[in-house]
Amino acid sequence: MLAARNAADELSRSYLRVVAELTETPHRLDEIADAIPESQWRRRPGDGGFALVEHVLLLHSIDLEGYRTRIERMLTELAPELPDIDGDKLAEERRYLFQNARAGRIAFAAVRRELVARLASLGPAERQRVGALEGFGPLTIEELAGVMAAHDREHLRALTRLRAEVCGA
Amino acid sequence: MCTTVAMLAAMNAADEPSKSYLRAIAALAEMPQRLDEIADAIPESEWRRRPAAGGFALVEHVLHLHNIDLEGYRTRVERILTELEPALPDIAGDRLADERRYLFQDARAGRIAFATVRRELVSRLAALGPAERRRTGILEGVGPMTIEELAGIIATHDREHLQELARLRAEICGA
Repeated sequence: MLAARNAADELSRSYLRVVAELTETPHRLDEIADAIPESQWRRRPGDGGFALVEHVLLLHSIDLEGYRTRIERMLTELAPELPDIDGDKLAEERRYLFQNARAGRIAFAAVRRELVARLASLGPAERQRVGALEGFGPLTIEELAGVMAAHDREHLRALTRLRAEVCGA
Repeated sequence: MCTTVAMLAAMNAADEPSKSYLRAIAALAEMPQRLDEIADAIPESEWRRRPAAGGFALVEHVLHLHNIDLEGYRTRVERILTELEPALPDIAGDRLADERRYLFQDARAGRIAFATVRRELVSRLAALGPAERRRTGILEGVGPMTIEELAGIIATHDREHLQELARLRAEICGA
């Protein structure tokens, strides 16, 4: 019983670490954006991929329309089917390259703050609620938080490479 | 001098949220309590009962209000704030309720979740500056509108649900 409780405590600790990491992303994004001259915010990397403004708008929309919506549906529906979101298609359809990165940074920080507060407020039973994520399979809210952190890291790595290309390593 | 003062006064007046915007936000803030009053008056055994004339059961109203707040209104507000005149698709509430089987979901969890997302939506709307409130998007089936106007549409949508819920309560509990 004690071993089970220790395992549960460890799970909680790793969840809290993930939530802390999610909290940091807007600051990490700001550090990178502030290091790149604004005149270069629409510049895409030489080998393809997103420009800074596209990363910002995508992180903002995926937080709300992707992750937050999935969490809310998992909390209120019984094992909902959660569609994948095609970020490339969204960026193209909504013309993220031509939008306002400053407004996007502020908006991303706002929706991320709410998302982190929501995750931090959930009880153990809520964190274990499940949904079936398209292309991924069944997962709990705890696991979804880990998926989000991995998604953040992918964008931060791409942004770091972009900064090196634009500003020099 | 007088002209400058008059101009400044006019600018300040334009910067202040309109009375109708403030009224809309106050009404939006009240909505979870109004929903709770009606839900508490209907026995939980009747939360999945649809009105005889057709329409949503209480649990369907709750789940619908919750998802439209986030996937409809909040998403539109955020897109209007970050994109230049975005085209905002309509959401078919009846279809969503059917596809997601709202009739069989948990109304208690839905009430708590709706109160949370509504609190966030109200805070977001209340925090916007004048230039942000006047940004526009193009809502499918309605046309161009500002965030101020969208707040009025959300309040109207709330009222429609409250009217239906009041009729449902009268049908179940007696007038």
